[in-house]
Amino acid sequence: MTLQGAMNELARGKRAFDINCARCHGIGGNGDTGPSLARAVLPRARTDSALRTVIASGIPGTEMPRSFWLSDLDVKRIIAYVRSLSDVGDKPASGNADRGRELFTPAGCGTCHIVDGVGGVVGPELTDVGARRSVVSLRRSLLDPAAEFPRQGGRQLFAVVRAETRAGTAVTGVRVNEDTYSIQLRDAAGRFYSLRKRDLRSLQRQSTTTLMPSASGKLRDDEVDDLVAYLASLRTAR
Amino acid sequence: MRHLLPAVMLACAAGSVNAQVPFTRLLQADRDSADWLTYSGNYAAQRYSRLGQINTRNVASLKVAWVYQADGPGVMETTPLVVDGVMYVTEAPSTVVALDARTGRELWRWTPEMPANVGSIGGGPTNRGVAVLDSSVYVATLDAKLVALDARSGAVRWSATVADNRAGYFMTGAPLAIDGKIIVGISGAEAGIRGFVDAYDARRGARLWRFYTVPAPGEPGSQTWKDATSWGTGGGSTWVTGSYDPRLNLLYWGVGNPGPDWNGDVRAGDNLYTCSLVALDASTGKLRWYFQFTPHDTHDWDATEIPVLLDGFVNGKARKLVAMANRNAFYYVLDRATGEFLAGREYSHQTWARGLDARGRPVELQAKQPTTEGNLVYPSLQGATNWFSPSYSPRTGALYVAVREMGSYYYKADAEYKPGTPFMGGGERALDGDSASGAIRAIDALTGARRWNFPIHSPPWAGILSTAGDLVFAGSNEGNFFALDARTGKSLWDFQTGGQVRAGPMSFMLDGKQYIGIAARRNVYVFALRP
Repeated sequence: MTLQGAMNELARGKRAFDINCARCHGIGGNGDTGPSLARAVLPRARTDSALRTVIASGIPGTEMPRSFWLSDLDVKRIIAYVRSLSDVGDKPASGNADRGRELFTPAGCGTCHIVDGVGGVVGPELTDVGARRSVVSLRRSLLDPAAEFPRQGGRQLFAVVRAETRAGTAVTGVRVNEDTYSIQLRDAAGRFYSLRKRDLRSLQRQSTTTLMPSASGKLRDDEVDDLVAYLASLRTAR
Repeated sequence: MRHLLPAVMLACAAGSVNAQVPFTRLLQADRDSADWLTYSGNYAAQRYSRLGQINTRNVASLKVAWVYQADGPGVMETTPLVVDGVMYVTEAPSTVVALDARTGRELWRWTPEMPANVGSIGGGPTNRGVAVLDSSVYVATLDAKLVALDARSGAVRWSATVADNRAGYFMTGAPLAIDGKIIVGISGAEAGIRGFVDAYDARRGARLWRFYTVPAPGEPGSQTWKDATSWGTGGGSTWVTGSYDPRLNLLYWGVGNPGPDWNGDVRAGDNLYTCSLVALDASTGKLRWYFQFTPHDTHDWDATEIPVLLDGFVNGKARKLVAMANRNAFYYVLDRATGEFLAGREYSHQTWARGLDARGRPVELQAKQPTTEGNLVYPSLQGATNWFSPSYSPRTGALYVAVREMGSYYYKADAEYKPGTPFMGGGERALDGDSASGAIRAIDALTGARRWNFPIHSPPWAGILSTAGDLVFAGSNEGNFFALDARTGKSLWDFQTGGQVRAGPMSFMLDGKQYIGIAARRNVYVFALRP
């Protein structure tokens, strides 16, 4: 293949990536709500064949969907493009991860988040959040937690819901699950509620609200940097 | 009474050993309300049960009678058939199981040998059910074979190769049994197949006729494929069971999308008979008429929804009708003798057409074509509805449709044809999750006007049963199986099955007792009133 041909293939790979992958992995693969792919080793796709499987089948239990519509050729081009990103290198966090670790509990993060089996359950587990989120996304979540929500299959996870029963009791909490006839909630204190929709007078999803407080104004800039560095270092699921 | 039971059981057992379902019995499936003899319940494909023992007054006490747990992988999409006390279900990819319909206990099981690399591009490895005729059970397999089994034992009577799986052809739908013939469709448009509808001799398995859904050069309709070679990879799958009018001797079969799906540049023209309903002479396979819902489709809107046959007065005149709630979000009523367009309207949110003209052709908005950057269009690729059955109740005159309210960004890309590989030319990104919703919707079967709407949590993938008890049974992705009042849409009963409902409900009667059957994930649930 000529050099021109190789360039064209890479450009085609970038186009296919931008259409199919960049919404979560960011333009240029630097990560957004999905992890940065601009790194030497992709933990879930160390080989091209593993990457092919991830693209074709998705990763169950995560937001990574399967992509049945991609042709073999497009998958091949996307793989080549993703591999070319390793030259760029992941953008490192500027803070100090050890100081961030010290800060995690006093800042109140553990009240709602589990790390390594310890913590609360009102927000998502963070044990391997560094492998799932980019540095930019982690910082954004700390400073402006309502700017983005974890999602699965297009559904907002930990969505805040206010339910009022016909008897007049009101519950505000995060949605654990929902179907046509029932909804399961957990309030800020961690109490669990199973509600039948027919027993409710109103049910409102507050899609722009989060129970997570912003670090802005509560932590100094360097403390935010340290916390981001700590979160980015959390990469290994148990 | 107890001493009578053994005699009753023996009589029933004898019945199941013979298991004779001659064509005359299939013709009367409407009146033979004790059994469920065809995929859609009758040839008119109304998925309506004349049983009314379970009704709006007592459905609240419906309980599980038994559960069958499948061995196979995946989510079951099967509609069980029940014949003389025996239930026939299928499991992915192509296993047939006979069960004691009173207890769910297995009588026999048949699993075909299949190559490990069997392909099913554009559709899951699933199976939607069997057909029965005389003493045989017929199944269409994932590797594109039609197999006749002894209804008593599951022994293979014959096996016919319908098409080459390595070239992208596969089968998931229930065959349709008519007089001496087994009719099947095919899947594979996402791999650039050339679709067809086939008829096989029910006794010996020889192919009797084939109707290609994409005409070859020189054949009628070929002028709608303006590029010289595009017809050969033109798609037109026929993957959902059609309906049949024995008086007119016409089969009604839905045809799927053209290939490649989202890039229409390489196949200029209307691309007949893709995204059409075709009426075929059941004796010869000759085309009597066609109606194309979506000319030159670029959104994968297969017309493989169930064509429902019904009779009614249109403009004061008695007409034999065929109705389809199409994947493209419009509802259509046609004269089933001639194919004449009589009525049509939007039944779900759509943004791709201004409406339908006087002949039922969509007035399309060209700005809603797929683009390289992505173009948001309603409905999504999976459509406003899909393969799962609607239901028509002659008592209410309503068609009940499981509706998907969801949009998608449609992308256009290059498509290169290589046999047995994806040939789609783009993709979609659905606005799913919280941006989407579902509904069970009752529409007037003659006009498409909305009567009532029951919202459900997410866009559904399950069929509907209506009954003479004025009930509508339906299911959800989240595992709810529920009964609505057919006249008001009010929920009267619900049950959490614990797994996605992705199949069609059915009903049967045994020992004077009505049952409701539904597959949910890998279980078949059978419900009855608490004694």
